[in-house]
Amino acid sequence: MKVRKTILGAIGRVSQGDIYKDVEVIDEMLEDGGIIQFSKIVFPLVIVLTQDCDLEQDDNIRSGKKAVKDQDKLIFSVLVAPLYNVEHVLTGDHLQQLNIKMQIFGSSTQETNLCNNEIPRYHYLDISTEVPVTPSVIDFKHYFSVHVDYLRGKTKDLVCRISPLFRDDISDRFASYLARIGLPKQWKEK
Amino acid sequence: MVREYDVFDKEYSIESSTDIVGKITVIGKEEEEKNETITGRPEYYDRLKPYRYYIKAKVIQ
Repeated sequence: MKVRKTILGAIGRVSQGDIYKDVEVIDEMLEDGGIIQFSKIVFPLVIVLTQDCDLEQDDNIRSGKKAVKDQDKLIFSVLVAPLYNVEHVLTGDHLQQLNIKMQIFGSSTQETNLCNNEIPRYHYLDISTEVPVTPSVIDFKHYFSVHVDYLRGKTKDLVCRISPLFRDDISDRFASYLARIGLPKQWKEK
Repeated sequence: MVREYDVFDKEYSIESSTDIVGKITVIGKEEEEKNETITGRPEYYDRLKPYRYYIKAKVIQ
């Protein structure tokens, strides 16, 4: 699947389908006797999953572009999910530096299923060659949130923006994944 | 992986909802897996995996 690159900065705000690089999230924070220690995880690439209309309404308030009578549509955080290099995902070592061993996609069937987006948890992206991003996989299970202002301040780290139709596909698959229902084993066995 | 962070030696403010209650100064940090050298994009991003780094800070009242 090829995804069109759109012009960077075409919409001067955070938008659904934006891919940012070097996004940090606080992993742990401890305080002991005046010494604070915290760890951060840096994700090389993430994609914005929050609904675009929510982002637009939030931006209208924050930027003062439109006169609003209240801040009812202000949001606190933006949902994002990491992109992993597909080659690393296939070998299960994409979280190696976090000491997490992941599933190995050992057979060609598993690889094909992954790249055809037949596994609900993952979304394969082969972005246009104009964008310096290797074929990647979004892992919906690893979604997390970042503050809106944090992303608004990272305009220089905006890599590209996924075109609407393709980003809607991602959003739809993410919503379906979140809405899944895990049935108890005994129900499956009957 | 070798990477420089601009957080080193930078001062941060710790704020409560209304008042600044103190300042912290970064006094040290550790990184994991310093085995690669980054040569630039796109190879950098092709190889890069999520990683964790630590910051220790001391509260200065």
